[in-house]
Amino acid sequence: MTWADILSMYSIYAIWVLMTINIVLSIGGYIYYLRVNKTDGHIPLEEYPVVSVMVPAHNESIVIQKTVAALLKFDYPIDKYEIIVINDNSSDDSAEVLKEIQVRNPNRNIIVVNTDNKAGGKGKSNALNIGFSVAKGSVIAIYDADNTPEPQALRLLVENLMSDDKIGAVIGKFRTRNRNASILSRFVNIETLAYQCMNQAGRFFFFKLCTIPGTNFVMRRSIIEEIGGWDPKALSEDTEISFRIYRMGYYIKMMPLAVTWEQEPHLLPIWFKQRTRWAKGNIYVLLKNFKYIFDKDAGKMRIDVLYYLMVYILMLSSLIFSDIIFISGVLGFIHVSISGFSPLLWGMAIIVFILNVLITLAIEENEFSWKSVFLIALMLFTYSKLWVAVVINALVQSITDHLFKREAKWDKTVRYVETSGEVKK
Amino acid sequence: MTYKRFAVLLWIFILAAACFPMKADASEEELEKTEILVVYNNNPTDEEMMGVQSIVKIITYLQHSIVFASVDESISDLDNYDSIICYGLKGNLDRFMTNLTEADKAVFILGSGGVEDYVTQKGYEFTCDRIINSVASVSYEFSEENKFSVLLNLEDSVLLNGQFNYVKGTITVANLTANLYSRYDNFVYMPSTDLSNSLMQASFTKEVAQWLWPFSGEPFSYAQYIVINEVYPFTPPEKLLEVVDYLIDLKLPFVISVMPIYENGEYPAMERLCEVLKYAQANGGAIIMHAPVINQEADNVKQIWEYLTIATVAYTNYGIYPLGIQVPERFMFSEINREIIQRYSTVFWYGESKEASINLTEQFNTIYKDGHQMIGTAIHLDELGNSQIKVHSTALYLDIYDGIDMIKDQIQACRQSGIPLKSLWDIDHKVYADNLYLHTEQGQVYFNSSKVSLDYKPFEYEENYNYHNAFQWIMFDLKGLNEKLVFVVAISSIVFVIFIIKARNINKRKFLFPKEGREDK
Repeated sequence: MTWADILSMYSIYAIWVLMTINIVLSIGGYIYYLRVNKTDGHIPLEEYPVVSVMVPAHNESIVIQKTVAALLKFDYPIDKYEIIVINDNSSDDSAEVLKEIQVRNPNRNIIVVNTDNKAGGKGKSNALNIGFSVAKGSVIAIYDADNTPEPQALRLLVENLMSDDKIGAVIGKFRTRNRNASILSRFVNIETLAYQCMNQAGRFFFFKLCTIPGTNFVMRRSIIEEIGGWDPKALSEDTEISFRIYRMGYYIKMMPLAVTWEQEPHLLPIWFKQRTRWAKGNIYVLLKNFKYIFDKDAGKMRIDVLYYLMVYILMLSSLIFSDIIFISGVLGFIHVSISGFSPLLWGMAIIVFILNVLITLAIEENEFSWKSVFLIALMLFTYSKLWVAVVINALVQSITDHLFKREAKWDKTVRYVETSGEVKK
Repeated sequence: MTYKRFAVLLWIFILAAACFPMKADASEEELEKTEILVVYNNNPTDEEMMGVQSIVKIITYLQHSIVFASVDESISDLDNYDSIICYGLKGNLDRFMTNLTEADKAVFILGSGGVEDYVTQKGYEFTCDRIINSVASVSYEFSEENKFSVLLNLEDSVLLNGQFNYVKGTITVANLTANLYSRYDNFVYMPSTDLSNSLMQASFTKEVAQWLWPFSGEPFSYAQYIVINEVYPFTPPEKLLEVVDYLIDLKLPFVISVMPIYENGEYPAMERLCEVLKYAQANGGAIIMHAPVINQEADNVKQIWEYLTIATVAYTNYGIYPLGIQVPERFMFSEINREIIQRYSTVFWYGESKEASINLTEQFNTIYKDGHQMIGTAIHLDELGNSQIKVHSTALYLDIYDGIDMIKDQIQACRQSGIPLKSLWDIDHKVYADNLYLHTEQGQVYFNSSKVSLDYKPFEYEENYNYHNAFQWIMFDLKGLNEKLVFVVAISSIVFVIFIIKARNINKRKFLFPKEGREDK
């Protein structure tokens, strides 16, 4: 038995364990989607609570106008929601753009909080804490500055939140507005649908577990007050706050009919930077919450911590090992001598991966085409490998940040002007 | 090719076909016609069942079919058989003996019951001396140099005297001496029923083979195989090597029976054993697999096949190819055990239990139909394992722990017995396992239909082998995992395709019949 045998065995087990989990989650997500699609998702309330819609924005003048315009179109009672844009230490003309919006909509409750580099500029969590300090609503909704939510999104989220006292937050679905901008944005679109939305739906279906995606969600004000706001050190403030909600005994619901459209990176460097930030954030949250795996009182969140562990340790290591073994094998440096080791194992994994992703595309309107099969296969050999690079980069950065006691830096995703499907910087 | 050359070749072919197969076929045809019946008492004792079992086993080794039935079961069917063995019959046998006489078949009577009636009704002019409860001295001569004697307890016996066609051995009891085996035409008589004794069993085997032989002269001679028995990975390799080298030096063919290994096949002990086995195999030795030790009655053939597959792979991984299986004789009499060994064309038998395992309700030696190449166990006539059985193939089992001197003496005795020794490589073998097929053709091994080499190269050993390898638990054959995954993937794929089609249909309906007030995105 050689090290190549041991690593191959480990990779095969790890990949198939993760594959099986994804198959199960996809089936659960599919059933949940079908169930929800049979309804309109609404649970009418006698009285709608006041909602503070918070939008943290840092140099977002390119997209903010469109975002606020979409927020103003919510079919939620206009006297029952306020829009709070935290213009966080922006150096562009965001302040002017926002002012103009306020002027144009005198009858709407739009609050703009402009921060300088002393109070602001410290990341999304800090911006949200600032916004929260002026928020009046008993329900807090969060949207990223590049979002254009559909009009019914807020009402759907709030109605579902108020339907059960045990629900701490309700998340919606987000779609890629600029999916045709580049091959990368196509990949991001597929990834978003398959591994963020469908996966979330599956986890909710089986375990009533979801992770807040950072945008298009509502949560109770009381919970934020109780947990003392957002953790400014967390780059993935969404995941971090999700775990805290679970620990309080609430659950998070997914309402896929509440849709927001957002702009995703269409250039590799921007994507790489954004995903590195996410990965670093998730690693931070994972380390912070790892101890809860062994805490029986932590409840369901243990499943989620375990899930993240599997993704960031099991999946990452197995992908690295399998690639090393494959390349070394092709070059003739190593030879795997496990009895029964066969390319069939990889072939089957590819088939399952493609079919699994195809399901999520089929269930969405205007997403499925037979070209997708090719795209998904291509994605497996390109985009997935990039993910490995992202996580390795994030790990290295996390370690160096820790060693040199550097504060985690929140890198804002660079936005682009979209015109009729084209994208301009 | 010219016409003359073609004609010569054709003639050679015709002559060859005429000489070899026809001669063999004729003999076999004759043998197959011989349907044998062994008759036992209506309510047989355990001892009698053991006797019947011995007869059935011997007849099976002689490659004959045999039916076993009680007096009442067989009394009306005596006409259906060519040869009838009456074993230790007692009680009122008038009607049976009348029928037996009228049937006019070849008859072999063991024990005195009914012999006087039969002799009288047949009109044979023999005198019968009846002796009650005595000790008899029996001697039997296989050859001039191989004469053996034994004392037997006789409860109630009849000694026949007269003019016979053939006699062999003597029995002396109460100052009376008679022939141990007396033959007149197709009738053979032996006063004792004791087949538990080696000499009696060996002599009976020889005599019954002669009685069944349809031609003049002696039956075919079969070879003996030297088998180093029950070799485990923990068997000291130097001891095994010493015996192997001794046999190789004497240019004697030999077989090594290895114990099945189900796990830890990569341990150094196994490697060292396999190196000796590979060396033996490369120098004319053949390897067979010892049957797994099954403590309970086997009830799951598939599971045992799985284990045998694992055990076979544990050896084939080292280039060791077990050509047959060694099983206890009780496997002949159990349907499940017979099924277990169906995957092997060559079967070595060894005696194991002192209890009768024959199932009398089966009434037939079913194992005969399975067509194995059967090698019975040699019957030891002295402490050196001298065997005089050459009417069927036999195996002389050597125990490695007896020490090299004892083993040398046994091998010497075996060489002096006059029974030819044979290499297992001289016959073809077939072994089936799960996803594995091993066969030989004229000494060439084919593993899953591919030729394999039996060349020996010294092994390289890992120094400081770690017996507590942390990853050991995940190392197993992936074939099982592959099969399970193919099933899971097939089911998942079908489910996913159904999901995709259903989702597509829903989306098409939504597009064609949008809900009222729905915003077009």
